[in-house]
Amino acid sequence: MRTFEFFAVKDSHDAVAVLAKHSVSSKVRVIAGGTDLLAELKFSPQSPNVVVDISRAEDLKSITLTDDGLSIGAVVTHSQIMQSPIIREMFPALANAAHVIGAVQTRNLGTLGGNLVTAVPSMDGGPTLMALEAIISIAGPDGRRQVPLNEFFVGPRKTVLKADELLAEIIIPRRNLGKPTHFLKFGLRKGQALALVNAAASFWVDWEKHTFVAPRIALGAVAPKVIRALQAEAYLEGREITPEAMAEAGRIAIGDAKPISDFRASAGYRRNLVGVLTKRALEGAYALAQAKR
Amino acid sequence: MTIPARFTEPADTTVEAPPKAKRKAAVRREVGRSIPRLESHAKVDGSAEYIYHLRLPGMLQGKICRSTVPHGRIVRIDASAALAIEGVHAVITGEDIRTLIPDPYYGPAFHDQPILAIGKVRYVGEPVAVVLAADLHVAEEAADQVVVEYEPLEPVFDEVAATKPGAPIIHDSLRPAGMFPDLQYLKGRSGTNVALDARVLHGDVEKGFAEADQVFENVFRSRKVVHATFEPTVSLAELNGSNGLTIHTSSQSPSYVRAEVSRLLGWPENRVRVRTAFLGGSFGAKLYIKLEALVAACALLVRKPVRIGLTMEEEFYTITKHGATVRIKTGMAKDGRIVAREVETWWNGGAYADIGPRVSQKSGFTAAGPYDIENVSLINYAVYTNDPPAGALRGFGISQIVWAYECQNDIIARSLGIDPLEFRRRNILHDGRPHATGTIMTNAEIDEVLDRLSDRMHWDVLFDHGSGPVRRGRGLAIGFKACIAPTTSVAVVNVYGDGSCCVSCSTVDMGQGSDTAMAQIAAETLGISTETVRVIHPDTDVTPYDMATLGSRSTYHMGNAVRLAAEDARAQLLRIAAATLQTDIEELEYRDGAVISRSGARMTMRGLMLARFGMQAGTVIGMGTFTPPYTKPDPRTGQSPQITPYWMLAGAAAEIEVDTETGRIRVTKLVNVGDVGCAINPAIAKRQLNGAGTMQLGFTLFEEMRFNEGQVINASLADYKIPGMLDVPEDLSAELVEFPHEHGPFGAKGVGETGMFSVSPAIANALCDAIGVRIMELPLTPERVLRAIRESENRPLESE
Ligand SMILES: Cc1cc2nc3c(=O)[nH]c(=O)nc-3n(C[C@H](O)[C@H](O)[C@H](O)COP(=O)(O)OP(=O)(O)OC[C@H]3O[C@@H](n4cnc5c(N)ncnc54)[C@H](O)[C@@H]3O)c2cc1C
Repeated sequence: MRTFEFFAVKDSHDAVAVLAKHSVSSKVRVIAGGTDLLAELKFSPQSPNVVVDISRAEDLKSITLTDDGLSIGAVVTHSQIMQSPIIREMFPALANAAHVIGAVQTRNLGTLGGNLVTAVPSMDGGPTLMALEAIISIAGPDGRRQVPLNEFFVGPRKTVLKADELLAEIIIPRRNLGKPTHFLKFGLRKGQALALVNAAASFWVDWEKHTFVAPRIALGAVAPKVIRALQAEAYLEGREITPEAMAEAGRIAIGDAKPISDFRASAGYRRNLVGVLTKRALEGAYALAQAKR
Repeated sequence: MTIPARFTEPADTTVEAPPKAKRKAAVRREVGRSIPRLESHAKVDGSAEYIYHLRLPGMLQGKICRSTVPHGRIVRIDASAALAIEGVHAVITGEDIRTLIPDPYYGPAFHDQPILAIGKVRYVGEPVAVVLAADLHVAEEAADQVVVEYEPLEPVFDEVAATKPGAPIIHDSLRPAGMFPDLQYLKGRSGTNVALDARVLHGDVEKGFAEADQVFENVFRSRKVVHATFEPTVSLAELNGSNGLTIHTSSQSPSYVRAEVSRLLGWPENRVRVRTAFLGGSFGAKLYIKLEALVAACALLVRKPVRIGLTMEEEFYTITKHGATVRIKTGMAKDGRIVAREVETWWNGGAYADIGPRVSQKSGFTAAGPYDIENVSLINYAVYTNDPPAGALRGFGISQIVWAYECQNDIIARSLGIDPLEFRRRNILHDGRPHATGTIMTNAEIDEVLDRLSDRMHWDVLFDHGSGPVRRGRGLAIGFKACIAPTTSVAVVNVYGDGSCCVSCSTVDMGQGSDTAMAQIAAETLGISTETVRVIHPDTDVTPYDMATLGSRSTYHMGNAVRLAAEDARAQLLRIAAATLQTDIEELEYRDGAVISRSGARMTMRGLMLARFGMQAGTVIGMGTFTPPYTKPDPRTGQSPQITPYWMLAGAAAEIEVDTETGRIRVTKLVNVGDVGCAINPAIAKRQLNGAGTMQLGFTLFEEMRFNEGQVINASLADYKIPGMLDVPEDLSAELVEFPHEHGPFGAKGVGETGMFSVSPAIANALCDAIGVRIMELPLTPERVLRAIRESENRPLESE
């Protein structure tokens, strides 16, 4: 690790100003919890000259209901998400996803923003937000811009963020508040293991017809970025809710995924997991819908 | 003071177990008490010493530059770019080492491992050069800049393939080390990758198979795994005076390190001082020579202190557990008795033998299991491959062997329609019966182990196997080990001027609690409280010889040596009292740390010292030496009347849930029963069983080194997962079987490895009980289990 200049900013304006000033001439990196960045700084040959610490940025720290929906500040930690009454009430899946990230120490430091910006395909923060059609609010020199989460990821460890931009907020749109959602992670062991596959499913129920409404399925670790299982969603839309339909959606989702083989698991095994986890995430979301009814 | 050989005569050979009366234990104060570990506070407040933290003034840090090819000739080493980096003090290669040590090959079995590669490399990760710099980061950066050109040679990785004709030969010739008596029969070899083949022949196995009603044959495999100790391996060397050397090292075998480094340097042992501190785990990873010869050579070459501390990644390239292929063939009589068993085992020893030959031989001779079998043939091949070296890992190969025979026993039991527990009861080797080596099984509580397993598991109660995607199963397994022989432990008990007391011994406390156990044994003998005894950590300038802290031998061997040393000190104190009180020694009694005469006079240890030295000063030194008897096995048949000082019996049973859609096994209950003779400290003994059980759980369910052309591709704790707290079964328990061993200190035997033996087959047998699927290769990863399920349903999972 080489030496670098370090700025601790007090809010997002300050951060954007520092980024604007240094991103032209230097290699600048933002640090939030540092749980990903520090490992990178240690092992990567390209070290930054400037590091901007946003972990104390006041305006990025809260979870609030706004006119747009539920806003989660970029530096909200996984532990905060787990403890947030609003989130536990509206989106237990988000709290569950936060809970399976690393260990207590990782969750106390690691932020949701950092998780998304790191953009590894196996991230546990991604699928639930993707299924809930979250919007990313980006702060840059020209103010804010908004990008849907599924356009935010470009590829493994790549997002649309520019060097002088900051992920400021994650917004779950108003129309999806309280939408029954379920998240599942499958790793080689129970704690502190990368997901071989993770999955989130979300849908409203038309109780009259007992059908799926606006089903959304997101999958992690099975493509270069977190993806939506669009064919499976299309299959479910308006269909009667039955165990068979959920199992079939799982089978269809396998066609949406393009996993690779690595030392953790073969592609064939991951495809099987996609089917099982999709089905079980749908079952979980349905159980939640029933409970909330 | 050596205990004479006193082993039970092999007179009675009836099949019935002789009824065993529980020997009544004497009233004890210190032994048998679950005293909290003496070092607990120091470990919590951070004051406990670990060598990894040690920094010496003026020290250089070494970073090892490692081979990138699995097998190849070194064409050229170019260190100029590394040397050009500011702050680099030196770059040392094998040729530099040779200027100091002309023959720089070491190893406990064969002198086959060079301190740094010379002419050839034999595995990816083999040390080729060392960069020395005051700043570790500089050394790291420079190590990447050392250019090594190789001429690749064909590698071989599979232990069976490596024994086939035409396989590339990894060592041109072999030179036996000759240090340990149990390995002295090793012969030099050339033209083969088989470092050793060890055989045990008992009865007539061909005849047995011919007469059998049914014959079963299976092949079982286990993959390489690592120790993953939390304190990585570390050694420092510094010059000591004008002609000496001090090595500070995270070693389990300081006495051996002194002897081997002295031999390499051509020095007498008294010029080399080796000291250790607490070890942050070891499990066999820190035995014999690891970094010690390298830091010693570097320090002598540059005349400065040198430290080399490995990273977790480098641990994967230093020492591993043997992968093994076990072919096991068993002949059965109709009544469910095993009549013949043949076991052929290929041990993947990697590029250097390390202690592999002992692993192969010592575990190999138990490969038929703790069963009474008339006809046995056991063949073991210690095989060189181009993998990283393999050595000891908590059990010296036993778990790979038990994996085979206990899985096969279940296969047989199921096929014959016999309950697995009943199958074992019918075949176990009772006390007084000869083992396949000819040594009589004594002081081994195998029946009791089975009874306890049965009780704990409620084995006779009908078991609910569940329905739906999650199924339940239960399974059990037993295993055993013969403690290593012959070995020696020496201990000193010092009574100081004020009557306080220290135990000096070279047993290394690496987390197993030996300091506390040794203090308890000394305290019991001297009638003082354990908490007042201090145990001096190994320092070869101070503490006497010990073979090593390995193979669950310390409690028995060092425990006996400490007991003898304390008895010696006590006898001297009694003599002082007799002289002071001018009475006969027979008139005196030693009780509660004091001498009491028949006339009622009482002298404390403090008082005795004052009496002897005329002031509150002086030292009384008690000494104890313990070498249990041993008879070398016949090299052709492996027969010996005394192959081991004691047998360690173990049993494990598991209840599991298996998710048939993902293949994930969840162990809900794990019982580990250990035959420990006498638990010097029951809480510690139980923790050893539970700790070992959890460690083996990782080896069973997910731990596996993954290779690509000899390169470990999961060499970090991010990618290689050991069990975490959440993986520990909700119902995890340990059970101690305590019948005092007649020669153990207060009846104790070893327990450090016992909990490893039977866990893997117990879980695999539970899996078969749950869903009828049998897996013959470890680990039982979700993918492997799911593949087996799909295979059995005739709808195999795609391979890619
Ligand atoms: C032991 C351990 C276990 C882990 N386990 C898991 C796990 O199970 N699941 C999982 O998904 N992850 C896991 N992680 C990864 C990591 O903890 C999470 O991704 C975490 O959420 C990252 O957040 P952070 O605040 O620490 O990010 P940082 O390390 O601070 O930053 C990560 C990256 O994002 C950039 N960045 C951060 N915030 C912003 C922002 N607001 N705007 C622009 N750029 C930004 C940084 O420049 C950097 O490139 C683990 C990490 C560790 C060390």
